[in-house]
Amino acid sequence: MKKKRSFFVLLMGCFAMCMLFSGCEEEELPEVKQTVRLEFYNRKREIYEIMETIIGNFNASQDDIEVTQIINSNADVALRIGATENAFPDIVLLSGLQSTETTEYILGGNLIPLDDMACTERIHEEYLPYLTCDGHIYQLPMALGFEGIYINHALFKKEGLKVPKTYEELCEVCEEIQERGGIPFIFADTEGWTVHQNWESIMSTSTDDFGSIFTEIAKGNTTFWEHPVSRSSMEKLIELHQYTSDGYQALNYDEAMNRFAEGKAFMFMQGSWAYRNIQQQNPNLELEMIPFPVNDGEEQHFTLWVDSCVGISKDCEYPEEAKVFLEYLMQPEVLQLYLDDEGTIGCMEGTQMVSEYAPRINEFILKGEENVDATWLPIQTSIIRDQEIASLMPDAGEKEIQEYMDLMTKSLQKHSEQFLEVKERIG
Amino acid sequence: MRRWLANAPLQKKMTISYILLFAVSLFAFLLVFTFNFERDIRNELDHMEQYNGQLGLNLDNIVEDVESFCYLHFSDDKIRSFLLSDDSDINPEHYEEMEEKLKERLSLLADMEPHVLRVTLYTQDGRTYKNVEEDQTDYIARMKKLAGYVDWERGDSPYFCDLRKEKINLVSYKVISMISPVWDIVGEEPVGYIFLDLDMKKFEEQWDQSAQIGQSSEFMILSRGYVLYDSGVSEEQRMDTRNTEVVKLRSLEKENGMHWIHGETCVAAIEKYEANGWRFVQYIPVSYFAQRIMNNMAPFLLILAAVIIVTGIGIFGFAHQVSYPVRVLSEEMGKVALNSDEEQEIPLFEHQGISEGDEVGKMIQSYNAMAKRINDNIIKTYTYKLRQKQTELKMLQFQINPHFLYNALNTISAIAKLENVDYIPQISSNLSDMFRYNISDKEIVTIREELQHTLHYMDIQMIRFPDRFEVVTDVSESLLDCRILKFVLQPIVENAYKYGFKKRGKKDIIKIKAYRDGDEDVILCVEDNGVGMTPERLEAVNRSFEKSERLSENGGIGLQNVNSRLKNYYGDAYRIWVDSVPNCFTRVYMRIKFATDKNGEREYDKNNRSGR
Repeated sequence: MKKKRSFFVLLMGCFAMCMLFSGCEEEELPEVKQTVRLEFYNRKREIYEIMETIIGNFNASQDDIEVTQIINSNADVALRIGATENAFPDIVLLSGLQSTETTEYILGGNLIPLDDMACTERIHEEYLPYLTCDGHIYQLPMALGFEGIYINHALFKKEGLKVPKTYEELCEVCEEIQERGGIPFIFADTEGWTVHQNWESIMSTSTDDFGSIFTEIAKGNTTFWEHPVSRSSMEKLIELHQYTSDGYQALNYDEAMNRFAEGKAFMFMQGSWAYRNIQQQNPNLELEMIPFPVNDGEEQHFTLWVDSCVGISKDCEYPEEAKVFLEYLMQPEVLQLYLDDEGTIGCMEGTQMVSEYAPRINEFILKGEENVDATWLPIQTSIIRDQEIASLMPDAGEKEIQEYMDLMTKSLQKHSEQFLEVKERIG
Repeated sequence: MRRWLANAPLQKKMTISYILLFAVSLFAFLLVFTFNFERDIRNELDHMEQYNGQLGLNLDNIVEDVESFCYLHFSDDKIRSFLLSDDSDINPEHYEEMEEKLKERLSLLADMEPHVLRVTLYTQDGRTYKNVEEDQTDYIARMKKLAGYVDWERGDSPYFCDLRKEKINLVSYKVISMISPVWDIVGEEPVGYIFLDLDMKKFEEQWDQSAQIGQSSEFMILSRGYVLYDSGVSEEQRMDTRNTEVVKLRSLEKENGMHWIHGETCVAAIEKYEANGWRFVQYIPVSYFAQRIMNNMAPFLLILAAVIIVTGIGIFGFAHQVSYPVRVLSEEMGKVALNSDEEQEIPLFEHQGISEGDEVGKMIQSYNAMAKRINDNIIKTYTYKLRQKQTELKMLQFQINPHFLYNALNTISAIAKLENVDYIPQISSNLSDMFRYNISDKEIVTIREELQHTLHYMDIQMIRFPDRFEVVTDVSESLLDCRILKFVLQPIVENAYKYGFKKRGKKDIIKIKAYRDGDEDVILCVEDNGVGMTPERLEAVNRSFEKSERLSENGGIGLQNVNSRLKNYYGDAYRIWVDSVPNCFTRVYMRIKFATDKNGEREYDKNNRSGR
């Protein structure tokens, strides 16, 4: 009996020791690191492929963070609802501060400051004022945007035409082309944003302070109708619409781009973001982008905007991990991949700042004579600008232009307080 | 207890066993019942929680759907701009156009949402846009006031008003009103509110469908002041706001357990729907569980009941069959045990209807055989004692002052010699020897001594009746020392002398013989040539010796005494038997054990006594 009890005690002892050692072993096991999953919210379908490549490279380079790209057909609405419901995506691709919504997201506290990130040191100093709000950098600039006139060099060469340097030359070339049966210009007038960007693009070449036009109007010192640059730019845009034909004006962005890529028109007013798409449509197309030419005798200016930017949401559960990804993304060689794909330029040290297809624009940048702008408009004003401008095309008269510009002026002046406050906070 | 149980009658033990079986069965049933009851309650509570979760999800879906009203400005920048500020001063035409557009949008969304009866968009600057054309001043004022009570923050759930009746487009509806803030991207305050009137009937239809999916539980949905729905009662009863049971449930956050609902104890899962504070109460009456378990256990219970009944019948039948004879036997044996009179005969067990083949029957047979033997022994012992008493009495009679008798006889002998009277000294000498023989302590003597004692007796008889009879002895010298019981031979000879020679003229001869019968026995024979016996008489006499019974007529006591003493001392085989031919002879035989010395006699005597 005693023997049995001893055996039992021994057995229990062994069991307890096993448990003890197994417990020790468990404690010594390294903690299994959970992979942090982050969402990269993309609003530009043009860059989906290159971002997949970059994100894939990042994910493959380490095991701690896994970034997933999210793209939504109704991206803007989803983002707005996310901002309202405190469910803003972890990492979000936005436009520069000139975008009404971007500024609203920053002012609404949906993005966190990124001043402490190492990569901010590599941002060219001259661009910093256009990235700063309330003294903080909320977004990291990936690419700059600019707009001008795409020239189909092959057609120009074929017709023996010279690329215009002044507005007058432009009109002459257009007339010449029309006389020869060609179509000088193609427009995507069904989408208001392309029209107002055309207008602003023309304005920005005639002034070295694009933003001041809006500030002066907001302050009530002038109006869009009275401001010479504003009014003349609109008149020039409408004037150029006589150098197109019925099938080449009331098009959407994609249609216009494809027609131009097919060589149906000699010129196409569009931004740098369209270059890669046009190229993809027709790789043999000899393209050149020129700044919109000013009147003979006037000084030619050129303005850049910060286009694609990335920010981190205040709702992001892992902001430090998100910063790790942004540091990777902003590395010169990685960012250059993006810039090369989009065919645009950056404002970070180590990335290419000139574009091969825009030698005239490169001159401004290389000389440091380019202007940068981040003029923001209140939603009410921007709505009038975007929604009503298309109705002026192709042949609005003075009265319609004035009515349109008066609406713009009234709206901006009504919401001037908001405009000026934000203007104050940016930069 | 154990002793009591051990001593309890068999039938009682079997009854207790049956009660134990019943109790164990009952306990097993209660155990299974309790286990099933608790398990069912656990399972049903899980299910009820899931159903509550489903009700919550259904409500979430409705809330999510109607929340799209709060985001309609995000889908269209013009509406957003329109909502943010009243720009009718800038572009009146555009403003009117936007008003129409907004109403259309609201109507469209309301039409797409079956629960929505009325939607009103109330902007921060006091503009209202709605999908119905009617005066809503009071309604707007009330809703505006309610909206103002809430300290809204981004991400907050809509505010639900309690159930009320509203007239919408002249039709009366029961509605649940909902207030949702409309947020813009920037701003600390909502840019407006959406007031929604949700049709209670649609909720009820949905809950009716939920109630028909086949779950075991009924459910009720409680708002702050009303029973919005109760699948367990009629619609009229739902509106009884004074129902204290329901008021109590309404205050519970989340609780699963027993609650008093509709006048009975119910298992209930209560969950608070955080968005509007409604309570989902799934409940099942406890009696339902009991009934369901009983239904499920019905086959088991039937089998159990059948087993118990069959076992009961079997046990009682078996108990009766086994215990009845045992009990009767036990009672009979108990009577025997209680009887202190050792000499009373043990009654034999005679009972009809008891099988003789089984163990009990064999036991009874064994008992009867044993009782019979005991009875025989009692009779023997009784007879023996009786005779011993008689003998002792006689002995006592004979033992009256032997010295006086010796002296008297000696005196008689001396006087007779002095007076020259013949025979008297001879008679007195023989008497004296007989007395001496009588009073000696020896119980066992030799044949020689016994023969001598007999001859003394016969000498006296021959002096009394000279020339009447003759005594002839034929005993070999080797047998004279054979040990024999005292006073066995003389009574036989006396018997022959007394009864053998009645009314005969010839000379009576008594022959005493002794001879060996085998190695162990000796036969003594007393033969007379007297009247003999008839065969019937001879048979009766022999039967009486064999059975140690007295004959009915007088006489023969002496021989029976001798016979009994022989049987008692040597065993049944050693007794007296008679052979006779009428008018010719009578021979009385007596069988004894051959033993020549005292040691041998003692050894035999000891063995013989222990064997009795």
